[in-house]
Amino acid sequence: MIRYIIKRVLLIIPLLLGVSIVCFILVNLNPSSPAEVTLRINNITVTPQAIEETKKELGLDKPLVQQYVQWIKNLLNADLGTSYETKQPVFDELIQALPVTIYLSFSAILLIAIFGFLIGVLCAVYENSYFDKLARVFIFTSAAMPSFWLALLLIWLFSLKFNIFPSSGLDGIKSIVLPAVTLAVAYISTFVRIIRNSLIQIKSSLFITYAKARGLNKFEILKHKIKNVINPFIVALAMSIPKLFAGTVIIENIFGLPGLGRLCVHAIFARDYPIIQSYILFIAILFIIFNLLADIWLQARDPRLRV
Amino acid sequence: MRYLKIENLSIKDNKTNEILLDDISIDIEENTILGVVGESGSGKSLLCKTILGLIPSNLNIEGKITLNNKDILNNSKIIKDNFCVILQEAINAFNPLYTINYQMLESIKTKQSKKEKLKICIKYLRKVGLKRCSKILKSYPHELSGGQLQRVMIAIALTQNRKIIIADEPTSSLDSINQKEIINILKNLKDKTIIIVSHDLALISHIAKDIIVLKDSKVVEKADTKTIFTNTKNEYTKFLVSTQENLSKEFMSCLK
Amino acid sequence: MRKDFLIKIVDNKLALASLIFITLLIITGLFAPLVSPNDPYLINLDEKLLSYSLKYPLGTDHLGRCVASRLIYGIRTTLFYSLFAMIITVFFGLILGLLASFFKLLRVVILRFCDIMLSFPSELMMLAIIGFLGTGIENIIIAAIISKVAWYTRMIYSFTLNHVNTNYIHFSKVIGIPSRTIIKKHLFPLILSDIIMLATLNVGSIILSISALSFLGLGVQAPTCEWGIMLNEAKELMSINPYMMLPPGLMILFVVLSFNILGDSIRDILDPTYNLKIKDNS
Repeated sequence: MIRYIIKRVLLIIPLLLGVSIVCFILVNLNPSSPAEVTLRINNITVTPQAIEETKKELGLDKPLVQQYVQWIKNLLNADLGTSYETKQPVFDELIQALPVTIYLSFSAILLIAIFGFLIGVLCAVYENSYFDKLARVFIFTSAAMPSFWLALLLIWLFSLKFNIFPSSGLDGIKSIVLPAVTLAVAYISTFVRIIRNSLIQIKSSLFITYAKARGLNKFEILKHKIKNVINPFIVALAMSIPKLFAGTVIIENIFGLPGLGRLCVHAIFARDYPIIQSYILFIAILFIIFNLLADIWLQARDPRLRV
Repeated sequence: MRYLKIENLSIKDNKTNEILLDDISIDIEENTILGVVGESGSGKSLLCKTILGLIPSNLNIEGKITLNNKDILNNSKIIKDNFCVILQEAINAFNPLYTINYQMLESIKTKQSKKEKLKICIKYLRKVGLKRCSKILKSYPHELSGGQLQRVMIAIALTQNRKIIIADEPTSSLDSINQKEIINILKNLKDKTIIIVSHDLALISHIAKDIIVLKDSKVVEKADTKTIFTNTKNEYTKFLVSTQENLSKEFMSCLK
Repeated sequence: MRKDFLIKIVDNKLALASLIFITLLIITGLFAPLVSPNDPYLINLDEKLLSYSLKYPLGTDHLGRCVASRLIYGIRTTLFYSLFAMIITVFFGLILGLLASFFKLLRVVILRFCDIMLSFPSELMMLAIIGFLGTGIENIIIAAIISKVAWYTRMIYSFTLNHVNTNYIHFSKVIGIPSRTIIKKHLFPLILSDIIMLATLNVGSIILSISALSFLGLGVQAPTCEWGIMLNEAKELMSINPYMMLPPGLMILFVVLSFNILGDSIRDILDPTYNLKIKDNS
């Protein structure tokens, strides 16, 4: 087991390297150089001289590979650069915005896990009943619904009309309800589908029939079913978390929550490249880590994978 | 004296109105082996499932199944106390995430300590011809072969110590060596009533005292083994027997 | 196989309805100038925020423009750009996927590249590319393409592998049919139906991404007619006229829903056991 973990972690390193290269290249995609952009942000007149000076300042006059190495070195020292706009360390800005996003994401994950599981189980137990059919309609619709539209509808209904929840800002649990619900609805469909289909497959599998034939009581059979559905459940959850983090971008913007997503969009408008770059890197690394965790979990829990 | 009687059993699919078992009546003597033969789809497995109370809810049952004059249709308590099962595909019959040990122990319903149950498991694993029983107990289903798993199934049926064993094609997914050994194990069991379902006449002839032939959801013949193979009056049975004979003839001639 | 396929689609009423809806929409979009009741760009502040009438079937927005017309012209932006992006993505994915299946050297390079690109969730990649290239519709399409190309490549690669390993391809090789013919006659039709399924299932998410980015102001710019932008404008008017949120939102919902239903039906026809598989990589 430990060997497997070490092997997987080692395999990730080239992946992380590749990801960092992509992030680095992305910044240089822009036709106008970062130096020019910095000047424009700070409303300094753009002259060739000024560009040269800024380039030297930002270290952009060195060859690309050197720039990349320097950037990696900085990363490993937790130095993510300085924001073009606010001149604050990017690391600080990210850390400041992180708790809000975590709060939002995990509230949404909780909703997805609880309701997704409940709906999935009920659909499988009462397969093809009215509840199941209704749930499937809900799943299809929620997967097709633009999350920003849902957000607007919920804001109108619960903030403006009924005035139960605030429509923006962050104070107390009340302000996280609508954003978390919106985010959850957007991603719950995949989750319910996985739970429902796994349970249906398990229900009709031979080993459950044999378990009944052997005379196991309902509780013991339930134990068998749950044991087999846990793995898909965990994997689905692990895959949803980073997607959720990415989905916070829209939600935070609509609800005015000062999290990473809003930071990123603001940075895009302001062309604050260091922030955009660090955000992208952060989410990508999160993605990779959660994928890894899901794989390790599966390896630990499914004896069929241990050859 | 235990006495299993199936009276006018009919099963209909509520949705398609298809008749899956048509007026089946069978008497089974205690401590005998009954063979049920027929083509695929004739209703053999469904018959077993009905006796065990394992059929899906969209099927409509009519008729009676009694054991010692007690009605057992859907009476799960009596079924649990008197019946045990050996199924066809042993490879898929076990939960892949639990060890054999766990699954064997949970099948023994008596109030004994874990140690005693373990002893019983090992005793019967040995009886069905498995070696290195402690290793087998620690294994997961995917680590054992089809033959081994099938024997584990028989061992479980034996540990449950019930009077009636229902074996639904217990050897069809095995090679011929394993087939012979398993059929012999079943044949040598004492004090058990066995209903064995198969599409393989040669196998049944080796082990069963009486045979029932099913065709298109109906019973077309009930007789003892000797009659079926030598003196049958039923056209379909004759056809089955002669087909089997032709196949075996080819095989025998290859050996010469 | 194709005739059988079409018959099955027609049989499934929901899929058929979706197909008809999408076709009608595309035709409406193509003939937008003929079909729409008014000029979608015509600003008329005297007639702002009117309710529905004969002249303005869905009313007017805050600048007096006909909502229905904007919706219809929006088909051209949202739907057509998404379809365009999807076609180009599939094209590149197909080339890369096929290259990866048949050339060992390229396979390693292409697949590693896909692994790296797939470490970024696609919405994030779109955001990143928009972030660095700047806003505007061309950049959105480029972003949509780059963010999904790796996924398509991987899927097409695995489809090709699945099919190449089937017995009848081996048999064809054994009896000596040249590789080129095998690819043309056998592989292509098989992969085609898989691709159609993938593409249909994905158009929905491209539409959602493009409209989401436009909603945030990062995509198409006003005054272009686009459903995401219309929702953004509706947001500002929520307290005055909440009904403005309905037409564009419902439109996006129904279009994406139709594509999803269609894609699901195609997938059911191609592989009825799909719903029983656990890992869902879409």
